[in-house]
Amino acid sequence: MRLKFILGLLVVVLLVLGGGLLLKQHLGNAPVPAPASSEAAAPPVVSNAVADVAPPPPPAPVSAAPVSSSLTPEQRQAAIDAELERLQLWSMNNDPASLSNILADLTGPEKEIREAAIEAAKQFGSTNAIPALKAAAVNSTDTDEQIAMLQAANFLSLPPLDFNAPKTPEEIQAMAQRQAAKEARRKANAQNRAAQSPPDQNPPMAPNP
Amino acid sequence: MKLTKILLCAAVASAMAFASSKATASTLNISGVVKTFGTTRTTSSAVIVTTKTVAFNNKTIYLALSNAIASAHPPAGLAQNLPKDGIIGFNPNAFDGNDVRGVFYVTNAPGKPFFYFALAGTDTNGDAYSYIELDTESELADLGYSFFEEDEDVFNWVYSYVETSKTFQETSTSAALLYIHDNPYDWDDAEFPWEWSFNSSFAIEIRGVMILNFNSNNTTDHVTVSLKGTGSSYTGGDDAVVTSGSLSFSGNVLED
Repeated sequence: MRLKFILGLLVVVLLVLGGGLLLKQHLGNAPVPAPASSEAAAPPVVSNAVADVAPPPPPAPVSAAPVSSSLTPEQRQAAIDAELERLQLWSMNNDPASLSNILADLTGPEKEIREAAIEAAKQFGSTNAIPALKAAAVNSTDTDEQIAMLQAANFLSLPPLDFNAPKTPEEIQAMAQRQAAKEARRKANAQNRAAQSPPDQNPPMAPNP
Repeated sequence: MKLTKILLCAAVASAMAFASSKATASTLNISGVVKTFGTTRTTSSAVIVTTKTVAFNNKTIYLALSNAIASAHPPAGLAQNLPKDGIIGFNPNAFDGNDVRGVFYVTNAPGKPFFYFALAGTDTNGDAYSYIELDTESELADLGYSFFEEDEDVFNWVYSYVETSKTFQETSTSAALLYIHDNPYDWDDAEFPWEWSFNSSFAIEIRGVMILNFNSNNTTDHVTVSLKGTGSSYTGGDDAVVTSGSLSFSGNVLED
């Protein structure tokens, strides 16, 4: 009776583990979505914020594209180059699958790919990459990589620069005051230089346009 | 020694030309952190002015340039909408038609209809325009406006190489400048920094050290560029500072 119970329990555990493994492999190798089919040029972009992208699927247990040790150096470099190209494309997307692929490469066996994955995560621009970057930094044994991963996590924690963000009336007024003060300082400095220079040397600079 | 240098220059020039036409796995990444003015508020006992820190990357720059080229600051006669998912690329060997080497451009993502818009060139009035410039000078590459005035040495550089019968590895380390701006006629920060950001709504400069590596063997030639630095910025009509910024470019060259 006890032996049967233990055997049954073992079968259940094995089934659960096997199912989990299959699920992880499936999520980790999610294909890159086909590009959108818009043919015409789109109107001017008004926002590139990607902070609201859905959380990525769990990262795969191994790199999305492991480079086999049985490859020749040329084949190995070709495989690395192909993955770098994929990373560049994923970094320009805004979908969870692309982010998941990028994050999987953070723990890949090739240093060149891991470095590119860090940069791709920065270019993707999602705060959802921060936990994976921090986790990869903890697990890395390369100090430079750890620093790069943590710096990337910090980078992603910052809000994106908005060149045309609307300003409040108070901000516009403060900005005008700063510019006026700056202009006054510049003119005062120019006058001081002119006053301190001998008349035949270092003539005062013309004011900027 | 002089002859060696000339030969090396020729080798690199040809390699760069090759890269421009047959580069594969080419990547360009620009990113950085900017500190800008934040809020201003007045309480009963104090005036409080704050700063804020924000980040930029390829997407941020693409967004800003898309708006500039479409309507805000287009080159004369060349206004157009860029593809929504376009890519900023860099051709270190191309000339912009105005004797400036190294051209940034916008192209479409793979699998989409062909698109090309040069981010530096000549408008329909015959005037030069530019939105992004990479300026440096070295044994391996004179880029941007670094050599526009032949009597000026704007950037210093050092250079090393190892040549064997099968491989050729070169590295140049040089002062360099990346300048991104939305006024297409506000170019040449390298030689005229005092006119910086004139009439631009936004501008970013990254002044720092650029390392250019060129590796060649029997099967592939590979070029990498890395620039890291700091600089001034201008956002929304206000001053700002790039506290850290970087550009990286990588391209493989296939043999025939």
